[in-house]
Amino acid sequence: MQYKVRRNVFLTSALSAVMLAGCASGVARPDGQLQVTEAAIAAAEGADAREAAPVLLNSAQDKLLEARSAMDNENYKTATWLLEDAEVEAKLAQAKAKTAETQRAVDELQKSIESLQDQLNSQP
Amino acid sequence: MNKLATHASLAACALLISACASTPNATLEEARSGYQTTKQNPAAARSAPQALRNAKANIDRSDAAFKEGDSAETEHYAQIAQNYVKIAQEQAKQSDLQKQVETASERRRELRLRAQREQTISAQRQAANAQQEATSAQQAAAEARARAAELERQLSDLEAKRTERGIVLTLGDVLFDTARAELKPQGFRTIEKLADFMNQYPERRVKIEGHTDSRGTAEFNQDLSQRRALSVSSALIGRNIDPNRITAVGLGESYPKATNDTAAGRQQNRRVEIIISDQDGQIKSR
Repeated sequence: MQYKVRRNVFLTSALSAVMLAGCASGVARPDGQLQVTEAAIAAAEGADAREAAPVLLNSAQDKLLEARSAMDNENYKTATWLLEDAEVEAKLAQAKAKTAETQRAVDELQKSIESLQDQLNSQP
Repeated sequence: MNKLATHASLAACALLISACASTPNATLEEARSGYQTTKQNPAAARSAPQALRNAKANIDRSDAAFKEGDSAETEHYAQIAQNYVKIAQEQAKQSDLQKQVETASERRRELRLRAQREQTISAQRQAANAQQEATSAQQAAAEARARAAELERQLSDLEAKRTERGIVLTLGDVLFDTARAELKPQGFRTIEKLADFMNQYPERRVKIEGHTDSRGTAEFNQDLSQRRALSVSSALIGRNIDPNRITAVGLGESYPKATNDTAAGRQQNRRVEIIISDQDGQIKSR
């Protein structure tokens, strides 16, 4: 009987310790989100966001760096949030780059339309 | 007693939660209203469904965090939701711009076609003009050749000679009565041809020079040569040739063409020479 009680106490303590450890980390190591964010930043850079939205892209890259160091310190929740922020900022930067590119296409078309009209008007 | 305490603390908790809930999170509310507005935009609804879904999902997570009283997490996901709303707005803008690209491309295609058509038309017009110019140039050249040939023919009719002074027509002594200035009918026929020629080539002028041999006095010869030149001049004027186109001069015996020692030479020296100008009305002086 005595032994049994002790064993129960031991089991409970062990369980609590496991639960506490789980609580301390709280969030799992965000390796998947890291990949997603890195891909989003690479896509933004590929879409010329450096020119169209440099502030957003820089912010995303800074947050990625911070997130990596937070991961090294096993500060996974902070890392996750930083990575989530960086991902959406990179996506926004890419969207702005695409808008700028489409705007350029409109401007160029407009210019060539004007020059064609001039050409037509100048003909007798 | 114990039960009562439990109830009291539960009520306090509920109050606390409702107090929290009654002060909305500004970032979250901004995300929510941005999402609502953007969702109403047909371009965004059509072109940015994924971004709108992501915005909504993050608003929901932010709402859940808010209910749990975790203001940091509320803020975090509201911020992400706002960025997705912005992405949806960018994509809506892109879709509008893309429509402009399509309209403008169509317009440019039309204008290019029109420009090409007009270019073709103007090229055809130019080709036609060039053809016409070439034809008239050929005609002009043919006419010039015909005129030159005709001039040649008429001059040979007149028995004119090309000399270094120009074209020279010589009326011999036989066309005049001896020692007199009057032309014989044969001479008039030559004058007739010369008048025709001058009517046809109005830019040409003539210089008429009377010459004699050396028999008789120089005064008489000068006078005779002068009168013979004037007689030719009057004959031309009588055939409607403008006097301004005619110069008549008597040169007496000063310019023999052959020797005065033989009868044949003297006959050659008694003559009237008519020098025809070039096309510009110029005659080289002696």
